[in-house]
Amino acid sequence: MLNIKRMQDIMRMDTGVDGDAQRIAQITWMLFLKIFDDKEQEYELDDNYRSSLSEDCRWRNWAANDEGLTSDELIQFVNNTLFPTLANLAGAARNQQGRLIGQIMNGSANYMKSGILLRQVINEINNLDYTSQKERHLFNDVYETILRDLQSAGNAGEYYTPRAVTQFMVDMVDPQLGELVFDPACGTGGFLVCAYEHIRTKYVKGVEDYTNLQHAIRGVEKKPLPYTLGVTNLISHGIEVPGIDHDNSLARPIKDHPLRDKIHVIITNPPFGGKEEDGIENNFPAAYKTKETADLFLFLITELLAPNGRAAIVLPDGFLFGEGVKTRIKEKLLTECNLHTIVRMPNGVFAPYTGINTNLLFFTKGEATKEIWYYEHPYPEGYKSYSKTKPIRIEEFQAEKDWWNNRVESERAWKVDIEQIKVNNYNLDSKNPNVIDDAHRDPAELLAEYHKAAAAAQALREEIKHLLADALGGKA
Amino acid sequence: MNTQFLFDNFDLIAQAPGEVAKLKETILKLAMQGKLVPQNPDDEPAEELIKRIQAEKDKLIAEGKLKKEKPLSPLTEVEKPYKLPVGWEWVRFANIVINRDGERIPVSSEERATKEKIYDYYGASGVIDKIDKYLFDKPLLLIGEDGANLINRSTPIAFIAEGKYWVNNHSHVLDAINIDVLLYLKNYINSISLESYVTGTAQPKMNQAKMNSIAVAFPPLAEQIRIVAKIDELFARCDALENEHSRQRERRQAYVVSSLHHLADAQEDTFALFRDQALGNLDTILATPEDVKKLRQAILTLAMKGKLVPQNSEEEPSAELLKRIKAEKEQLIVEGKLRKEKPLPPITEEEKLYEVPAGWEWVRLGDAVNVKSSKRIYESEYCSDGIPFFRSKEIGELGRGAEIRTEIYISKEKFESLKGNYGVPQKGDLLLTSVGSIGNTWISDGREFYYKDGNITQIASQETVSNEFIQQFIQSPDFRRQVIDTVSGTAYNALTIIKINNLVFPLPPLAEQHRIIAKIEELFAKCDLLETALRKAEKRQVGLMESVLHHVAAIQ
Repeated sequence: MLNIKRMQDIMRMDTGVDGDAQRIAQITWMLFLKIFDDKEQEYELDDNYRSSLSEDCRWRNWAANDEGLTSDELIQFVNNTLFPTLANLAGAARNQQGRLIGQIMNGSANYMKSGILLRQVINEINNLDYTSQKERHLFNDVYETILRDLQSAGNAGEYYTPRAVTQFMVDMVDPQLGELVFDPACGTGGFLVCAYEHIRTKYVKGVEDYTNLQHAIRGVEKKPLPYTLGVTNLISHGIEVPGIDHDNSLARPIKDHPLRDKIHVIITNPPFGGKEEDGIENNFPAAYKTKETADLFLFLITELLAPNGRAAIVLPDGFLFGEGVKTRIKEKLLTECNLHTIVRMPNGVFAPYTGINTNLLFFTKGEATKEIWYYEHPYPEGYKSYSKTKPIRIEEFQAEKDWWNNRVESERAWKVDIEQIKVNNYNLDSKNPNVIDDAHRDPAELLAEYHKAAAAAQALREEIKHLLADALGGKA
Repeated sequence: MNTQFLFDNFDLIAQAPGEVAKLKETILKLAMQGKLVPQNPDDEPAEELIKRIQAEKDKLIAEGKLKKEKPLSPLTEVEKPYKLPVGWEWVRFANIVINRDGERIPVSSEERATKEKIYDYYGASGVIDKIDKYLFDKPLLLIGEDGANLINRSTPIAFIAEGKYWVNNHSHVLDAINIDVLLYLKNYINSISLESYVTGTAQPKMNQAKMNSIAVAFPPLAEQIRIVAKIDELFARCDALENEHSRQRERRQAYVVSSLHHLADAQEDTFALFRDQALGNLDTILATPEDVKKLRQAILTLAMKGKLVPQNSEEEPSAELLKRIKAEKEQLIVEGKLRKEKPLPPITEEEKLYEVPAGWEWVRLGDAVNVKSSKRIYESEYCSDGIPFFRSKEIGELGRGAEIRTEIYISKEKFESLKGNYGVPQKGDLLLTSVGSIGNTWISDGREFYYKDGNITQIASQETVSNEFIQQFIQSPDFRRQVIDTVSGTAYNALTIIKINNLVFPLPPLAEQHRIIAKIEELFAKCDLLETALRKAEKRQVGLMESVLHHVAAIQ
């Protein structure tokens, strides 16, 4: 099995690799090539399968032999043959699989300088037998660890949404077989894998269903490292040619976007707080021009959804109360879509990457919003915040799931009428009105509680008095 | 809820923390509903007053002294939150005041710095500077125009400026047909929430148009005067109450400190006296969670003096214990397992803080236990997985019983090699933070870990001296005092192994150490419960106060 830590320890001795982020990037492309090679052994069971790779660049031929190429020869091969050949596929390959490999290698780099250490890392990777069912299962856990490690590697955490949140959003949107699922900022593919597994386990009945599902999962990621991780993630879950593009979803004009009005399900956690470069906003109509990444994504989503298409999206509080362009985007959202639910998450769900408050927005395209239900997600009993060791868990969402199809107002849930929202100039930052503060509680009840607490304190004082009197030889 | 409930529980309510601010809030609310003073049917109705104000304003407009105002929309029913007594009127703020905002002039602080400081210079919450000239020379009502105070209201948002003064553009300036109306409006504005008249959350602002639209419950002039007089009278009583309460709290605090100090530090001849006094007044001494913290310290001091459990002359005296420890050490030195070290200096009479019971000895820590630290772990050896590596932070958290979040690890291989060559912390070893926040302790529960040298020192567990006892000694005031003496004056705030070895502490016979620990633990467990119970009671008391006052002023 893989030992990520040992690989990192080996890389620490290499003068070329600097920091956790580069170590992870290095492991990422190597893992990709290894897993792809293992997968190809499966694909080759089909006689018509043709590899996109030239023979010398296949993992089995340059890396698989533990005693094979090493030291300077290995470095030279990797830098001067492997990378140029594979990167060239981006434009030259005859099929999508080849172009995918080309895109990945284009966005990757070999940081290692020592061929001997590189050989050691390769041999560690060779310990992974991806053709074994058991190992494959374990690998997904290891992969989770790598993704989580990204959180501590600088700002890379922006690609990672806690699994419980991902799972909850997918469960509620419930993508079906035959629907096109899309994540315009897919990061390491967390939502896509979750949606894929959701459909596969719940709805796939036969080989034909399975083949159809392969083409129903689509994503776009702008940055190379998460892109590679995302592709590998999907391949490792069984998608032969992942439909993820290495691109910026916002970088093409909305009006002739090829996916416009075509997507059935969008689930995403777009990067927020970010600013897009100059020129990007020109792809959007004048009234909605902004440099705010999250705002542009929301606009894009409302455009891409097909009629009756469903979306779930993570957005910060700032979007809910923001004004200006945000107001217009919200107006558009509420006019064209039914924003039926906003789940307000407590602080620290994305800790330690960001402490800002976030919300999960659920909406359906095609009808205007009449009322919005809010649900305030509480911390579990005894928690003051989430942390790396105490992350949010899927069980916590059971209350929301129970409430989802049977909605009543409660201490956690409330609804706001669209007229009220319009009066408030589309401010969606609605505070929970059902929390009862002490001032509004019955004084008689509080007095009883006070007397109880005071009596408890008095009893304890007596006990302490007796204990002390006993110890110090006095009379209580 | 009836008001009888308030009076039945008045002492409890009036002694809850934060009581005076809430009382004042309630008084204002009651006043503005006409409940504070009786109505008089002979008073001229407010309607007439409003007419007179309008006539006065028309005259000023005709004379060109006041700008013609835009007519305001009539008040809707929704804007009238409660039913008014006979003779009162709901009226928009602008209809009863004379706005003088146009006469304000802001002066930058740089410019003010060049001026002579003679007259008050007002900003949003009061006087912020002095200036050489003045704009106004009669009492006027100022209302903060912007700033967080519009929302949190930590100081009164409306106040009267008097004398000759200047106002910048952060306060609205308002006049009226007489000072009595201004005084009433000051109280009225301070009694209501302004949130619906404020725009912006990051930079709250109440512009003139919003302020003008405020709905005011406006009584007859004679009643306004009576209301203001009543408010002033009650507020004066509230302030007196606040003074009395803070004096009472302060006196009780002083008594707690003094009584526990005398108990803990009493000499033989006065001990019984102070003990009986403290026990007799324990209800007064243990009134707040903070008191419990002080009691814990007193218990530790008493424990270190042998006052907490009786001595037993049958038990092996500490002097014998020390001989055994010394013999064991010498044996280890002979076997080459321990390095021979310079003997520690004998303990002087001044170092003995008090007389210890028979069978006890004053000892230097280094003569009783084995103090050491770890092998250095370099940053390059840190891992993201493996054996937890603790720094002061983690030891502090473990000591408080908090859940820790391990951030640094060392590899299993490294740990095994340290274990083989030098040994690693064992169950029962005491870890002590020794740099920065000195004196946090944790006794290892046997888990695998390693720790940062220098920042943390380790006292190996042994049979002769209980590490739990050492731990309690380290928590006690005796230890703190010595550490302050030892560490103060050094550039680097650290308790080195040499300094720890030289600390003196009172060593009881072994069996007595265990009895002392058991007694401390028993008492501390109760203290923890009491602290929680007191916090809960305090929270309920505040809740009760808020609830009662809210209901008293609630609109029926």
